[in-house]
Amino acid sequence: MALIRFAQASLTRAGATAPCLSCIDFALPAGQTLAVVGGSGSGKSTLAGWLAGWVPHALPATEAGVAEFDGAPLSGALPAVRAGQVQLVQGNPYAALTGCAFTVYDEVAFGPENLGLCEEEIRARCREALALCDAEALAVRAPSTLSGGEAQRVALACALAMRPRLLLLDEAFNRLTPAAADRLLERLRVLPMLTLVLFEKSFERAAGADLMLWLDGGVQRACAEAGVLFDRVLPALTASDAVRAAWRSRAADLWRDGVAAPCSAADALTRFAEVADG
Amino acid sequence: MHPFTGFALLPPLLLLTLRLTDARALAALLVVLLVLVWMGGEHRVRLRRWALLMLPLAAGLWLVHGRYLDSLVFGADVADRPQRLYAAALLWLRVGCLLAGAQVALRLAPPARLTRALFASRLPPSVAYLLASPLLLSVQLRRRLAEVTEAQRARGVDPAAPWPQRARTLIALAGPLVVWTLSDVGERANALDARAFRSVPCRTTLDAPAFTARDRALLAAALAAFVLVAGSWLWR
Repeated sequence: MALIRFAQASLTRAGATAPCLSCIDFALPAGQTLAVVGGSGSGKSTLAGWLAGWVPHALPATEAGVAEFDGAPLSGALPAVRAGQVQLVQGNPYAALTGCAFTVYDEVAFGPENLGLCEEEIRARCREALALCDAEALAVRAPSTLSGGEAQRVALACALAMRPRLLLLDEAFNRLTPAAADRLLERLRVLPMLTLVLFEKSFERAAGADLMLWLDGGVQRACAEAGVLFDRVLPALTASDAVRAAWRSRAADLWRDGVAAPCSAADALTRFAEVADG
Repeated sequence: MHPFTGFALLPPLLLLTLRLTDARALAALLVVLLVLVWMGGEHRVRLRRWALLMLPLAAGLWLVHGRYLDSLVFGADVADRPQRLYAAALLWLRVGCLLAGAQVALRLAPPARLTRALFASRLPPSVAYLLASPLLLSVQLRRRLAEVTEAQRARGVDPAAPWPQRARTLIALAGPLVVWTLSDVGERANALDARAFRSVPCRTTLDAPAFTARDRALLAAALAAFVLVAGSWLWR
């Protein structure tokens, strides 16, 4: 059974007449990775909030169609109750700070403490989450003194310490270096029983997902593998020059049939070699 | 010592400062309290804070209660000046004692431990959060102010300009700071929800300060002192 299931779902903000998200239709099995891509204002963050269970408490809106998490309606439950299962990491890491922690360790421990777990379990979770995010050295720092990149790693550690089944990353790596972001993403992908949903403007970061969902103006345009969507989505996203050059070649009919679309800069170079060899 | 124990010592101190009417006794109490402040950590900062508040207060009390302003501006009769100054000195000593006592209590209850004690107490988590969050408010306001200052600097507001010019730009800095701080409330609520705050009735608190037999004894002593001072006052 799919962990997340949308069927012709739409979301209309309170007071609005037209839906802010519509035609959302996909199913994501547990343990898989979905990348939601689209430009600014495409509705990625709204979909992230919807998936995080913010509707209707933190995101006053009404939904239509089917929107389910683990077989239950996505909306209605209190966000705090769902927090043990779903975690959202946003682009602004300071929004994740609770304001009552004097150290990063306290900040990371705050969530598991709220779940009423035993102390050993809380400490184990904190240790593991901080190590996963390369944030062990930050444990004794005050959260307010962290730089953007450090705060982003801490925000991710806070989310991971909750051991969620579904982790939503809404441009959660935008303050990290590409290498650090890729390293973290690789670690997250191999975590057992974790379903990942990335909300990205970067094609290459999204391309590693099992499934790619393209949002445009709040409407789902397509949902398929990255290679299938390459020609359609790339103009709306950011990508390296090599990948963009590959897209131009394909658009100009200079690409050889049978050579797949690239998913990264390194991949693009290999593909170019294949095209040239042919 | 449990952070709450330090605060339990304040009510008898408050009562004692009100009960004492002799300036020498109050001065002796103040000296003892200042020595206790000096013996603790961060004593320079704490003593400086105490002095920064008490010295201007002394000047103000001297000017107003000594009727120096009255006699200078209106030519008022100041024959009762010594009595008035004595009363002002008593007031200053009482305020000084309370502030020094509060510094001692704060030394015994560092904010981080106090926060833990609040969350580990029998208070509902929401009330504990409400009491604990102001302890970090100044840090958050400083961070916000730095962001606002940076943004305003980019728009031509010079925060390092001379005072008259800075006073004119105060609204440009304070306005966004207030609005931003208020808008933080919704953001903070979301952050708390995301950490399952209040999702279960009993939360765990790591390294919760223990309430030891020594704390119980000190609490009993504070209560006994309170009853003793209050009783002696009523008896009189």
